Amino acid sequence: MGFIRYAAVLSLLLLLSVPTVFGGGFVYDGLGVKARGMGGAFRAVADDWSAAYYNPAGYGWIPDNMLAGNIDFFHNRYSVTPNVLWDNRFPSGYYNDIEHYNMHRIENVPQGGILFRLPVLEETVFGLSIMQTFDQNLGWGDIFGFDRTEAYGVRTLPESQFDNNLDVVAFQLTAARTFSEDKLSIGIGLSVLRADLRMGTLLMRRNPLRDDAEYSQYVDRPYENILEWTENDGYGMGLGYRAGVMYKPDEKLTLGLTYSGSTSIDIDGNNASIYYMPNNATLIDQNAATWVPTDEVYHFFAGEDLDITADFETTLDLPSTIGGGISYQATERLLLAVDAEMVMWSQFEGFEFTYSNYSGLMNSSFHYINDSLVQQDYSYPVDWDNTFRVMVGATYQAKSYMELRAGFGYDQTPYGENTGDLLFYDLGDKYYFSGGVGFDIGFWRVEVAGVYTHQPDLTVSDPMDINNDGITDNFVGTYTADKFQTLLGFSYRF
Amino acid sequence: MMKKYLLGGMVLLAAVVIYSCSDRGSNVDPLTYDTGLVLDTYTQHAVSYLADAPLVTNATIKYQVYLPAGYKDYGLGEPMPVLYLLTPFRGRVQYYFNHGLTELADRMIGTGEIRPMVLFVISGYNDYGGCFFGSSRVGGDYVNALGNIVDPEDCLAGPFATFLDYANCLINTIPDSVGYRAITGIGMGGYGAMRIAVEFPEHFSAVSAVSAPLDFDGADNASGFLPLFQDFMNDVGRDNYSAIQFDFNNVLQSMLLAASVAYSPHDTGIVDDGFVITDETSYFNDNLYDAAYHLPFYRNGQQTDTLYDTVTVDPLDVDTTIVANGGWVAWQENNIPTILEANPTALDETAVLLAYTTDSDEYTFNEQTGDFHDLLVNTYGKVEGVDLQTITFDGYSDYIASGDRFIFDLLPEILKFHSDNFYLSKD
Repeated sequence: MGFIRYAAVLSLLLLLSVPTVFGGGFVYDGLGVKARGMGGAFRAVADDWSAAYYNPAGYGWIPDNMLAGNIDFFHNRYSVTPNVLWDNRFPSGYYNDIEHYNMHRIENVPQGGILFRLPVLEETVFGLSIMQTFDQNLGWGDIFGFDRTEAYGVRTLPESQFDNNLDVVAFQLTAARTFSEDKLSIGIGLSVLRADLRMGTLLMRRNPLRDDAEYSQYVDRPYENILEWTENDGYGMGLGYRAGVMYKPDEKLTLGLTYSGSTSIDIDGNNASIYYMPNNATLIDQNAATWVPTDEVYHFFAGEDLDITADFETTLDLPSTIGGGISYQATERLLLAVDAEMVMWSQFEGFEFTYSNYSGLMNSSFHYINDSLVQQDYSYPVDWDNTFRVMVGATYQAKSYMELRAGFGYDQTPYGENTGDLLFYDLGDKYYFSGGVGFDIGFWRVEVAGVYTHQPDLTVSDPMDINNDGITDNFVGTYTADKFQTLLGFSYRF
Repeated sequence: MMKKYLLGGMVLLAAVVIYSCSDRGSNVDPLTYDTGLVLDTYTQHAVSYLADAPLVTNATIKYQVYLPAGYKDYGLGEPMPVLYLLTPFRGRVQYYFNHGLTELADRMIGTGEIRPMVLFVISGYNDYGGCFFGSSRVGGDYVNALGNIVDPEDCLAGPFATFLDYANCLINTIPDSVGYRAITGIGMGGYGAMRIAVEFPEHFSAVSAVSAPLDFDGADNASGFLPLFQDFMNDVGRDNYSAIQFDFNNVLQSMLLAASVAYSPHDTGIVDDGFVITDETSYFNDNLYDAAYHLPFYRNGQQTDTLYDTVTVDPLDVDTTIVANGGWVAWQENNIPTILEANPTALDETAVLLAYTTDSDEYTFNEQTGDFHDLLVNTYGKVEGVDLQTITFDGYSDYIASGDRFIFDLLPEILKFHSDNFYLSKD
């Protein structure tokens, strides 16, 4: 037993010594070491703290009070090879035909819960848990370079050119109790949701000087668009709920059904933007008599970086889900489980960012810069489909103190044709393979699980403007992805 | 046994973690190649071919030069080929550099896409907006000033008769090697490049022109500049001569006036070389630069209700008044098909690149270039892909490829074309 403790501590130290880890996937799937070890087929098992997420009804059959938690390590190994050409023809400044990797980040996401069996309504199990239910965290640098756009001069871009860090954490109060002589359990979780969003991206804004009768003649390629880097950083609060039911028609078979409601969370915060204005000293020189800094046109060709800040508001629409599962105690040692779930991704339509309280604006008479370029809202529209996923898992009680787990899952992508960009990364129908082991040491349980997710390569061939606002809503290129996930967990019964 | 399993599992876990968490870095080339040298400010040099032109307000050639990485002066390194780039109407000497020429050349040379070459940007800009690279002793003999070589060996004596005499002394090239010299231009500059290449084929191995006025009246003898003359008069108003805008507010008007200075200047009494009109009663004075020249389209000159006559606008209309005015006749003498007709083998040994938009070009230079392309193929035996290369391009949605909007995208192809067509000698 001493060796087991030593090995567990050693593996924990090993993982914590890794400098960074990064989590990914809009639906966060790092909940519960046992559940992940079984490939997520846990809705009809739900026998640890993570039942708060998979099926709150599971709490009804947990006999002891429990304190539990797990920590999840991710590293998403993504790559993109851009082929971004304006109108599919003209160089854009993106480093095309080079395989770029997402920024090297490794994050650890801790979460857990505590549950008590209390004499309420005869006997009810209550739980309080902190869970990250949605997540997207990826960044890209070196995707765009001014050294590939010779008409802009030498400029410096933010290190992370595309970045999306979206976290939704649920502070959930769960209650569950059994009925019908312990054959039926019903549970419900009410949660306060906090959504944190930091989304940065590069945009090409239409150069408003193209609409000027006098100055449009000076707007040569590549000045017909103006590069903008913009980042929105804020948070919001909302309410959510999930409910579940489990039924045991006999000693071996368990059925589970869950539902979580859709939620809209209003997010507000700060925006920072940089507009990289064209750099054409010839025109400035040629028109030196009339193009002076007090004239608006001067600033369209003087190679300036316009730093603008503002407040922003947007709404995050989280999808509802409905799922179910079946578990079967095949032998005394072997448990089999299968789950299915629908995620209503069509309810998520992206973001509409609206801005106010600008600072850094130029002279109020500069109509084109202030009104047509800078004070423009930004839409990040998506056109996603509902998805279906299936999970299969098993546990095997190898020893009295050791349980082995394995699982497999299939997860549809919400992407339609030509969908794909650098902010939300889901390349296609995914397959994941998982395994894990749990050790019972007295009242303690120590667990570890590993998951590998395979995503198919994705090629986005043509630019797409979903809402016809002149801003491309996908990113043309070839994408690859691998995802490695390691979870460590413990629980203590009391 | 249990410990072995655990130990094996730990090792496997460690291997997976180390692999899956490794930093993959960046594949972006940090662009480590050497950069060339561009003179900080443009330079101008007097050449005698411009010195006696009364309508040339500054008898110098303004230029800016790019020297590639590794360039060395005479005796210190290998000679390099030279590409001359002529600016479009209203384009000043920094024109190409501010469309990314320096960085583009650095990158393409650094990556081996093109061979190292010296780039001379020649400004055609003058007080009228552009010199149009005419060949008149009155309006300026830019063709000889830029294309001729009078005394390539006499670098110390000066003053230089031509710019090539000067440039050949200034940089480390092979002065008498046609294969080491090429010329290009866009719009007005494209005309200048083609005209110089046609008149001095022994000095240039290749020529390229982008949407340039290469066929003044088009293949049908009724297009090219001719519709622009009508537009000019429509803009001005037929009975309002004073409405002509001599400053640059109206591009069309200033462009045709500038071209008239180059192609149909009035005889100022100094010279008469065949491109000068001696009619002393009908010349046009713009009252801005005191330039005397003739418009290529008819002006009645009489104080009648109709100052401009739509019928007599057509220069092909045999009208004695037009002949007496002579503007269009003088323009035709400057038309490249006319010049080429007099020397039909001029481009036989010269590689030609023509690029023009298939969009609606504001001044129809694209159509003139297309017509000239057809002329080269159908009349002068140029073969596409052999000694003729053609690039057609267009814009998109509400951003059409008019004028020189797309020079940024064409420059790489122009540099590549000329790099591929440099050679040591024509033998």
